[in-house]
Amino acid sequence: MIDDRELEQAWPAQAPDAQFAERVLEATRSPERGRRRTAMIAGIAAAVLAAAAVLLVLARRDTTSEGDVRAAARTEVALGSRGVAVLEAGAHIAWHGDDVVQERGDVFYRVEPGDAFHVHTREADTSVLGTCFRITVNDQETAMKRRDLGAGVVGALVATGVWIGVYEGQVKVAHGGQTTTLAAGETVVADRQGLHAPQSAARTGDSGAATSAALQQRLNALEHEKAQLEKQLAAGGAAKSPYDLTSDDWAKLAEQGGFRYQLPCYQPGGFRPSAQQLEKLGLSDADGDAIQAAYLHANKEFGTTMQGICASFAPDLGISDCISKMFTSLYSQSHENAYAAYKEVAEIRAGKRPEPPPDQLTPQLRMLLYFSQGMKGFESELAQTFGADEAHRIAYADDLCFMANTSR
Amino acid sequence: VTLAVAQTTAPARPPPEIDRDVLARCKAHDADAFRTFVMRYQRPVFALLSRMLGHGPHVDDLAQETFLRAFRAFPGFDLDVAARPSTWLLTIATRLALDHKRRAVLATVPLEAAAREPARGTPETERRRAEVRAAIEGAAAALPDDQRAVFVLAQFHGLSIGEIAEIVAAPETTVRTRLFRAREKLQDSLGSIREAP
Repeated sequence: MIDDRELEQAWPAQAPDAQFAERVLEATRSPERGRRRTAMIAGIAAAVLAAAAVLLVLARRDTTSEGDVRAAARTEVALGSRGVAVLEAGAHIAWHGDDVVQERGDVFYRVEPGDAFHVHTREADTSVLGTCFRITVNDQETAMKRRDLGAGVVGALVATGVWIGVYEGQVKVAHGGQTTTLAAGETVVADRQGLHAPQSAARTGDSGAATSAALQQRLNALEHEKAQLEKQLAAGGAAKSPYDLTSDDWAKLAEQGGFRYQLPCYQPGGFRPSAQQLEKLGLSDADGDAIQAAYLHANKEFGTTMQGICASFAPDLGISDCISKMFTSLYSQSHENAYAAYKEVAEIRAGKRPEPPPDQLTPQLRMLLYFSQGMKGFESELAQTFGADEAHRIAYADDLCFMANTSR
Repeated sequence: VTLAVAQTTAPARPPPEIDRDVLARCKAHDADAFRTFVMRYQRPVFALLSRMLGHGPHVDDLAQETFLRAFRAFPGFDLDVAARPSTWLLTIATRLALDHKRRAVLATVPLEAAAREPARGTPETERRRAEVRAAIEGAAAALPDDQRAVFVLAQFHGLSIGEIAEIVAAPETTVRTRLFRAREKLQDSLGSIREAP
């Protein structure tokens, strides 16, 4: 039996690049100017990857948004007008407004009440009206999530298939001809055998429903997590963020012509962490005010700085379009051009060459240098409340809202 | 092997249409509204053209031509009586693709090369995926253009027989026959694939 999804994978569609809409608009003004230049295709495609995180800024503001994000690190994305997805590293989603396709990985969704919101995976289609839920598309065994425990949802070890767990409200899951409705605290696995309860899963929210075997499962998971934390402590503390780069890290990136950056995410009024996120960071509700203020400050600084850079590159474009165009231009001649620019920035950050004054830099290099220290302003702002060490820990904690990307 | 596409029902994922007020602004050639329109419909247009013509730079060119024609035709687009915007746009794209196919031999990228997803899953599922892909590639390439268009519109874009008939300017009975034959050929081509365990 070959199902629709398998057929779609076997007969893949070509996707537009990030600049397609702009080229069409350009062509409406002057049909010849907007025409595609074939030589740019590869560069643009690569630039899409490089600029993907930045384009999220645009997606956040757009109530009819669409996008395609592959998360290099934990990434928060606004979906349409009322959904938010938090992608764990390795997750991949594409969306048109309230219609999401989750290709792989572990994604947490919060959907405000409204019309139906759909998440399609290779094994199941999930429809909700307003709720919180998590979907994990497993390629390998997935360990139980700490957040699942806190929400009273016990995830099981699932070899392959799609795991769906609900935190609030209800979701409807369809798989082939089967459908089921899940309430808060319930989970289901969709795989080749159909829809069924996860192996060894338990609903801890139901008093009396938690069997001793399920409780043992929970205990084993907690002990496993405890062992992992002890291991981290023995190694000198929490694992370092891949975006918290030292001079040595930059030197290694320079050798491969690579580039990596992290920026505070954009939200109107500044992102405010949830009570759960604050608790996980060991912070109080009141600390949320300072973090939100730091986000707001960082967003404004980002806008001001990028406006300045864009003024010398494409003054007529908005910031998102300008950034996208700068990344595209880096690849317009060849990929090697882009790698050379990345190498130059990485060598500057590694201390191997001095940073030239801004008036001797191209707008693209100014942007890359700014991105390479994209957390600096946010961290400085946090330091005024929390002190330098704590500010650094918060800035690179993977529980807040950032846009991060790795090229090469 | 049973081909799921042999069913007459369309895939249950038609994306929502764009807001009426955006369309009204597109009629007035508002650039922001038209950008939103392009962003909303670019993926289905690319999907249709690439499945009709194969992957390659010509898909971008024809997609751009599709939107340019839509832009020029927008002032005459009647919000109250016109077809759904997606159907209208796919009509333009389909006719462009069929016309292009008549005029040119395209240098296309084989599906195998076009599939961007890295291998994942067990060796068995990967083997099966590769087999299906190769079989689809061969079968799709062998389909006559009119059958391929009907199949792609029905299978991947969820259009009804009536809508497809309007798009390809053929009677509904003809569309049904083309669809039946396309599915039959694809099913035959996929018949040699072993069942997944």
